[in-house]
Amino acid sequence: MSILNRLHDVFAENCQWTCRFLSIHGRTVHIMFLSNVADDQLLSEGILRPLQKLDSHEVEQLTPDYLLGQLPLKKGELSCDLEQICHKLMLGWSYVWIQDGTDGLLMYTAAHHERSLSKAEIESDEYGPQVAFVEELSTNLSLLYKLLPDSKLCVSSLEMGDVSKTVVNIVYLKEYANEDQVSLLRSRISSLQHINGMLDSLKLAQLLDDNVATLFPTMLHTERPDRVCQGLLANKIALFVDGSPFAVLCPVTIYEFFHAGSDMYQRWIVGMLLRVLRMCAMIASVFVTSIYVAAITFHYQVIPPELLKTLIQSHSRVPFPPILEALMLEVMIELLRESSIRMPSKVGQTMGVVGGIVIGQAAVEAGFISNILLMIVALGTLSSFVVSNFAMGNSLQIIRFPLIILAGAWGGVGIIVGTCFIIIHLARQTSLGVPYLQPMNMLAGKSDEHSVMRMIWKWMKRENSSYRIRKPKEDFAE
Amino acid sequence: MHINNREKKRVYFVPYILLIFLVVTGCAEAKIIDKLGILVAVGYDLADEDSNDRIRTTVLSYKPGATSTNTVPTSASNNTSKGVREKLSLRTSAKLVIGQMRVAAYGEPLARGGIITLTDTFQRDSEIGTSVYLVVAKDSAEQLLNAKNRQRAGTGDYLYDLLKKNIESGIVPSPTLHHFLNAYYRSGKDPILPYLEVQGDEILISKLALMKDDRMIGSLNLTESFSVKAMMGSNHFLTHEIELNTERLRKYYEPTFDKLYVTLSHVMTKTRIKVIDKNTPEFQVQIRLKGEMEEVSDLINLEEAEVIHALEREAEKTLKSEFEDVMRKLQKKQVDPVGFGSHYRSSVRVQDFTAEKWREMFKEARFVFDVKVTFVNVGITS
Repeated sequence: MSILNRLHDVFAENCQWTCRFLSIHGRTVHIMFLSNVADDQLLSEGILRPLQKLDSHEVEQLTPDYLLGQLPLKKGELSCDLEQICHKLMLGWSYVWIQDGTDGLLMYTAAHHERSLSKAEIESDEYGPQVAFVEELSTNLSLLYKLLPDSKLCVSSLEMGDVSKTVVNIVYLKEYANEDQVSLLRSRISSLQHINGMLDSLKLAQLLDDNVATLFPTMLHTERPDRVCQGLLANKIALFVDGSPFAVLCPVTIYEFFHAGSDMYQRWIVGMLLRVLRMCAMIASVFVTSIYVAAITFHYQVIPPELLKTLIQSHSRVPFPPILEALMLEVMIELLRESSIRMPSKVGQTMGVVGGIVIGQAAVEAGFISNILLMIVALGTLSSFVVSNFAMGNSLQIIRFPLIILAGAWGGVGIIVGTCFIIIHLARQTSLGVPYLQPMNMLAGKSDEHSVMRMIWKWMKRENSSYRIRKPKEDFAE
Repeated sequence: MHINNREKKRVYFVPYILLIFLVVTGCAEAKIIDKLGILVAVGYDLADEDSNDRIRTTVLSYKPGATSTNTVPTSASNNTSKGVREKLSLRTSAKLVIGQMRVAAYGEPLARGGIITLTDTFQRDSEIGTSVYLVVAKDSAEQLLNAKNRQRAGTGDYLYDLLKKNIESGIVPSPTLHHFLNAYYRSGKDPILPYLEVQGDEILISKLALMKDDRMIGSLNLTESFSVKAMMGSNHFLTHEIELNTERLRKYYEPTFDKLYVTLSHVMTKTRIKVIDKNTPEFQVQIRLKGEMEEVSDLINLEEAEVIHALEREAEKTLKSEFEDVMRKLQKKQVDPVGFGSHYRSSVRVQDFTAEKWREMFKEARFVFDVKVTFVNVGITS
């Protein structure tokens, strides 16, 4: 059975399957492609036209080898392996087969459906390079090469997903990145099995986590090329997944989730204060509601006398215990958040009305919720948006709920118990073997990445630093 | 897929934690603020003689759940200050809690008999700190807590604010539970508390109550109060008026009145007490007083530094005699609110130094005052 028939069998149920044959001076050349993924212009300019221009003398000795030299296309190779041919055809390549030959010719004619480069939307910032990654891996890498044009930049490619066959690139700077970490990452990726589709880098990051059950992200995703470069210079490894506009940086410590690109481009004191603000916002967003609940349910003693009267007045109209009141309002805010993401942008204005007026004002006037709590919950939610990384922001938003319940059940003791749980949990986490709470370097004398503060550029001895590496988990791929 | 056995075990652990949580949720006693009757002030008096009870307690609490937060007084009698809760709870719908208590008032008759048993219970209560103000009320504390004030503020808050202001920048030495207990348990020092009076629709601090141990035995008027507080350490007074003798000032101006008064504002005092003779005992009290000269009761040309210095010297003489007067009074009553005894004890190592011994020594003690007054900003005052 010739390769032609076998291919016909494989693609029998695919209506895009096209097999075109040309008769040139008595010889038949078959050109096979999938019409939706192959580019029309490349096909006609790169294959059909050169074929037609061959003279009879050439046609007589036509071999795939000769043809490879004649077709003006970027990539091409000889192949008779059915599986490889099928795969490449799915990616938009064309298969040129000369009647009765053994080998055929795979030519690269893939059509690119790519959106143009645009500004970063999720991590938008006032300073620094504004461009963001797109879904096309090669474009993303070219953005990276433009910023770090050095031969130390290593890119190794792996393929993942039984069906999706996604290309995953591990990018790091030689001599900067830790070799053990690179090989650990590589072995983890190759040990991943039974994955049908790898559609986004965030999914990959979760599969590569040291602890799959943790609530906190232990790998940092970003859509900004400058952030990736900064990470690479600071000994990190970046992961790119074809089709995903997010790069994943690892290993990271928790502090890096509160850094933003513009910290580094602003004047140092502004950058430093913004970082402190973000850390405070994190603490506020986690604790503010639960402290309110604890104070109002158990610890009336700690409330300043001036505030006490206002609190009594505002809460006296509410028929629910504070814990229920707080949980209701928190759930409402979560609904608002979620609906504002899911809603088509055309009806977005309705959201503002529903959220702001109906819930905010009417709930207070109806005596459903006390206005001080409304303010406090809004403060907490606002604070969680200040955190520059939205995955971390979401995690912080979630840990408020157990803390509120603990505060409602045991008051301040409950908050302390909950906080201890969180800190112990965080201390146990690692990111590629690097402790998640790697000692924080308050003044950032030498390095930047695990610091709360950001120091004057000249005072940082080197931008990179060395991590203390915990022994990687052996039992990862069980 | 990637969850190994250890992690699986950890996941199975979660329901147990939730179960424990559910079981022990009720263990903490909820005190939701709008369901409480939060006491802001409490007053103690002697109970009526014909009743079996010992103490009459009046509490001032926020109305639970009300939209207005004025305080309401409730009174009941019992034998102990905490036991009275049982009776008070029969009179209020809310649970009375004392965690926000600011002021504890004692009626004068009760205070003259001793108040330590009533203050001691506060000290052992973890709900309140030791920053509660203790005051003595003229006649009865019940009357004080039931009084209205011209400002129409809630009586509890008003009392607290009134005391706080006068402690920070007036003649009242800090009467917190902490200071009271410190002075009570320290040999060589006696507590001193503000004495509050109700005059018509006005509540005022009329004098300071001198306490011997925990019993009130006398009082200090306002001038004496100033002297005592000035001796008690570095203090700040908003204003102070000093009477000057005109005799020696005649060469600087023509007096239109018999007496000359100078009012100082933002008065800062610095005091240092030294034992100079441990046998008598004799103390040197060095007081430095600085103040902005705000008002002079007569027309004096203050352009010459010489005139100002002369005024300062006169003020020193007046203050010195005031200090000496108050010390004579304290020695006669054998009470030592300034704490000369504890100064003596810390500089002279006396074995078995007791409060009784000190009272005897205090009677014989001599005091040398070294007062220095400086007028700052004689011209324009802020």
